[in-house]
Amino acid sequence: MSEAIYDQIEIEDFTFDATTELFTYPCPCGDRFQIALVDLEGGDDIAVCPSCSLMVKIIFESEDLKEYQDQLDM
Amino acid sequence: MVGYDILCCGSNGNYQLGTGTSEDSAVLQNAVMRGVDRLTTKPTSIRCGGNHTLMLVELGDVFVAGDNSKGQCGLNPQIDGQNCLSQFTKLPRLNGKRWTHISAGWDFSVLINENHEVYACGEGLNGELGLGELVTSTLSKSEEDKFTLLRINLDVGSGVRSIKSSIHHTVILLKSGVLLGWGNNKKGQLTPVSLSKLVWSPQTIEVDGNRVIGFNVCRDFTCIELASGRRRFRILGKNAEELEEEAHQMFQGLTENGYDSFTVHNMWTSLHLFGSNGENATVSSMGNNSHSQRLESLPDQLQKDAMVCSLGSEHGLFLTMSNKVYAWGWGEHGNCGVQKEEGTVFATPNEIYDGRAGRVVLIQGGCATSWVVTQN
Repeated sequence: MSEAIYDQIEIEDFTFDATTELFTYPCPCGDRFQIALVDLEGGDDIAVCPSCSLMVKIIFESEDLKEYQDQLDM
Repeated sequence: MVGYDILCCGSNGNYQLGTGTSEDSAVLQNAVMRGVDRLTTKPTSIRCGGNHTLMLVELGDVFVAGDNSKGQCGLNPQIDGQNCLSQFTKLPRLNGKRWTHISAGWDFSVLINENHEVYACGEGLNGELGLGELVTSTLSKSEEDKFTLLRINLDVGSGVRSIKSSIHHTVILLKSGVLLGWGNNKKGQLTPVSLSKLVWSPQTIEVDGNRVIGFNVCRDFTCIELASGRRRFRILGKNAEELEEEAHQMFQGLTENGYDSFTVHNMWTSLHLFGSNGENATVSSMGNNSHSQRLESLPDQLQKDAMVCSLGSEHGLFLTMSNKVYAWGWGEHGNCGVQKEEGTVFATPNEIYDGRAGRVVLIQGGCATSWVVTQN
């Protein structure tokens, strides 16, 4: 069954963890939506929740990724 | 002697239901109060964070359950057994002072005591703690410390009328009428974004001299209800102008149809007016409807019967005059009761409490959790 996208979230609202290279954002179930930096680089824009069926679309431009890529090189 | 049962269902991966297990449940379960055989003081407020729960009872005690790994329940997680509280545990009073107000966001809580002291605990990367520039955690380095509560530098004068937290920001209405807020401001929830994306300390929210009646905190916007001024609602945050126009029309629609008294409620991404014309109830909604969060109309039976409304992250609850509780919206974790059809959505209100086990004194929607407090 295909579920509707729950919401659209701007990339600046996500929390980025430079160690796991994951972007995360609170899901209304209590877990967090997540997507890897490498997936965003590859053009994917849907973050999924590991605990439920909800998904969010991430609003970003490819140049937005630079500040996060820079954090990895530090 | 009168006693109270805390019934709950829904998302429970971090023991936030306080039932002693971490299993989700679509059927109401009894929360367990550690060391208390029977709760004899009436719960007056339940507030739910992402994965933790606070409950305030008459006489000023607070009980906490769920995830405490960030210290969001006020207790030091380094102390054995306090990283995650599987049952409701009493949070001792600070200096013997009664707690009067509680509020919870994603990984943090705010508590106020009878001396008008405001405390924060937990973690907040966006200023959620209100403790000043770049303070993102209240975890103590010392295992000796019993609490994770730190005092916010805030003079509330003669007291607080109400406090509410969204997942990432908090707003307080003082008895003096002043409205204050702190936390995430990336969408302008508190003040123009151009001033600052994060508000690290309590800051006055400007309402141009209008008297504030109430307020609601959605994830990306704050809705302020005004007693005077051009419009009933002032909205700060994402798409504020459009939302304000929509809220205005919703309000007009309600009053034109004779629903003169109403209360304002919100989920994370939607706003709802629950109105009454003395005989019938109605609900009018705006915002996200991806999972039937907006009720287009109330079933006939609920129009006559619905009495109290409380909303959670993406679902809602009604208490009826006949002492039943109904839930609607997104119910994937059992928070809207047992699903009779395929899917995760409850487009029409579903009965989760049949009214038989005691008189309902409090309902609360949480983060995919539902709470029904009964008196026996």
